[in-house]
Amino acid sequence: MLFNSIVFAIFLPIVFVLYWFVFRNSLKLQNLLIVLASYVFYGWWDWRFLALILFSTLVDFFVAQELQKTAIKRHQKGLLAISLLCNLGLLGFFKYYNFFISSWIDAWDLVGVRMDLQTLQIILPVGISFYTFQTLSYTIDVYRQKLEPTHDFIQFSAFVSFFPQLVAGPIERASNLLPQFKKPRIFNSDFAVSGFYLIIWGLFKKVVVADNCAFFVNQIFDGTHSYSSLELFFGAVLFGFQIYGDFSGYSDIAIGVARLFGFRLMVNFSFPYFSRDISEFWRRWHISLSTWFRDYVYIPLGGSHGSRWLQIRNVFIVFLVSGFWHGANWTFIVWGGIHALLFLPLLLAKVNRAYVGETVISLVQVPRILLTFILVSFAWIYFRADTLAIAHTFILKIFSFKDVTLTLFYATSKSQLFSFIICMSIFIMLFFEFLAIQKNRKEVQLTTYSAIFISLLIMLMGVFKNPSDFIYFQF
Amino acid sequence: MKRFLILVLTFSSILLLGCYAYFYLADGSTDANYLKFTTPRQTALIIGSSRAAQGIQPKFLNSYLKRNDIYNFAFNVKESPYGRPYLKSIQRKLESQTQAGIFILEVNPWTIGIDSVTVLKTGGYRETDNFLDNTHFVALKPNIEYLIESYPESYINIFKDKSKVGLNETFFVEADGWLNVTISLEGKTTSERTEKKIIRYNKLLSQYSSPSSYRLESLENTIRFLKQHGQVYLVRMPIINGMFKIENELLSDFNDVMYAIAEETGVVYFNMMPDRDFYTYTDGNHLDQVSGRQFSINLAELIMGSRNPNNKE
Repeated sequence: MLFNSIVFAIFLPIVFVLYWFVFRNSLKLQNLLIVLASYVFYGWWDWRFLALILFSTLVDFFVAQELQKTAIKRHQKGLLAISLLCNLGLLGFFKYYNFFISSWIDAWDLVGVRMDLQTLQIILPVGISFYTFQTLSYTIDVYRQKLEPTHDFIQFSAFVSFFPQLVAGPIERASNLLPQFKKPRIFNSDFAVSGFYLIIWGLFKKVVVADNCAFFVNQIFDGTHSYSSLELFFGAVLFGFQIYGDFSGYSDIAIGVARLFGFRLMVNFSFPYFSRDISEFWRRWHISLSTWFRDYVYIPLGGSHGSRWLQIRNVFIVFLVSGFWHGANWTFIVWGGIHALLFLPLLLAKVNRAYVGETVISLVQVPRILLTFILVSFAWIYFRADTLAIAHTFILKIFSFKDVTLTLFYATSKSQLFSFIICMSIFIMLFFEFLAIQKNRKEVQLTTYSAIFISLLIMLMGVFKNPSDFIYFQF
Repeated sequence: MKRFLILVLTFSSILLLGCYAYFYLADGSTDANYLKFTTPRQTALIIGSSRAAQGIQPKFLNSYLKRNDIYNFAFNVKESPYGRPYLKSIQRKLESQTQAGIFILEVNPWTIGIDSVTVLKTGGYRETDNFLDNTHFVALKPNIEYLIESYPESYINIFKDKSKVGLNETFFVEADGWLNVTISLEGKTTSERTEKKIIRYNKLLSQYSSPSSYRLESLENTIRFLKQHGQVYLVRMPIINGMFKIENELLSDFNDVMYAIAEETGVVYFNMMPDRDFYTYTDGNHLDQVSGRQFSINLAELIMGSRNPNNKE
């Protein structure tokens, strides 16, 4: 089920009414309703893959129970290994099997040996990377004795499958979300209103900013050879806005929907395109994933401690793994590698935390913001291109400066309209974000009037025909 | 809770009412199909592809046939070839009590052919799940179902497209369903459009196969259904020689196929292709406004003539 679909617009009020009016006096029934609603939400896409969520839930629930019962380190390690094997095994099979097989064949092909291995027709279950990481964090935290395991299976199931963030995050930590399933919920009007407005803001970013950008982005990335250097450059820039509008829009809707049910999810995006360096970008972009990798990969590896070489190694590992998490394609790995290369100089010069705590932006920082944005946009080319060869051609053509026309954006009345909508919507998005930053807020807070204004823009300029998937569903 | 519900309900109501009011702006300029799903159910229909949508003008047919109910319900070859979705939509659009209707079915090799590439790729037909399939309410104004489910653009276009009416190369669906296309007929632009059209249809030739048994069966089902409500006429409309050659490559014995169907179903088939040199075209495939008027008059005369038992086509 997509957030930007009619089905969801019907589904959400039904669950809301049942939750607050029918089951309001029973915490257990409220949690059970969340589990059932989440399974319907997910099963709407493909009910067969509900078995995977259930399997992941069962494994981590029982592993955590057993972890609490034993004090023997060897047993604990064995139990953790079971959880890692099951979750990463699922992820590996469904997401990476074909990639490993074809890479293996290609590698042998380079030395002249032809391998005859079969790839499989595997459907990638939506959101598998998100919920496996969420359940893993629970088991690891229990293993590290940072968290008490829950003995209530319904609570735990609700934590794993919570529909607002099930398929594209934020990847919640058990320490934040699970306790919320244990406490009785009291409806708070202000909190719910803020959620409602956040849903509107998220929808604006998705159906107005992202889906209109897609009109040009898809053309440009599907026909790299047909466009000028400048058109390709703007194609990369627009993809930056598309993926931001798409993914952060989803996160905003998820956080907003969760608030309607009395849950507070973590902030996932904090105005990343106002970052003044790459390090700050990664503190503002997909925060739930960055912090996951920080806590469960980077710090256990030694983080920024140890020798210079160890630091470099750790940075590369975490960025390459992060790239690989996004998809089974070398393009994502290169994307991660580029970010590692951009991040390293800051780490080595010990200026990677230069802007921590400094939120307000001054005019003199605008060139730095623009430079960071251009660097991030350059890396997005690898993220969006289907193959490395396409990405290379794309970049070479940008730097050939052979043709600097922008015909694509104004050739027809249709493209003129799209250009107008895109420019206007990006300006509005950045303007609201800029105001929020200057007021030291963590999210855009709409007033009633601005919410009506944004809703009108959604209605007039949104793309609704065949609601498009959110890009991050594929990860 | 009360405050929240009041806010959400008020907010949603204002938005929904605003949308509803805004949708009233949608008209014949919105797209080439919308208006046809806003008019009342009909008793006499013109059915077929864009050739018929643009080339058959109901007001002249009505005037010559002494009727006032002929309505153009033709779309385009991609969306409305003979098939299940189109028949379903026709059934919805036709006033069920109709007894003395008149139904003009424009036919050509493309409307009874299939796009084999799409069938292979998707396992379905090109028109599956399109607006004909999805629009259940065919006589609703404003047609919210169509605008939400099938309108392909963002809604600001509803407003924007209204301002284009009257300018060059625009269209407007008239109240009788006729797709009135305003287009420059200056020699160079017409020849450029014709050239492009021929290139496009030559490309389509490699991926189309005609006739398709599914389409023929659908055409027969459409004829049989409409025959219960009145008289049915099959019409092959004229196109330029270059396009005609392509059609012949696609299905050289098209006329034989149509005569056979006409005989089997007991209807009349008018092959108006031999008159193709008497008309002018906007792009080689569609009659211009003046020729469309003349064609409609000629068609009306043929229909009147066919009613005379001594004068059969």
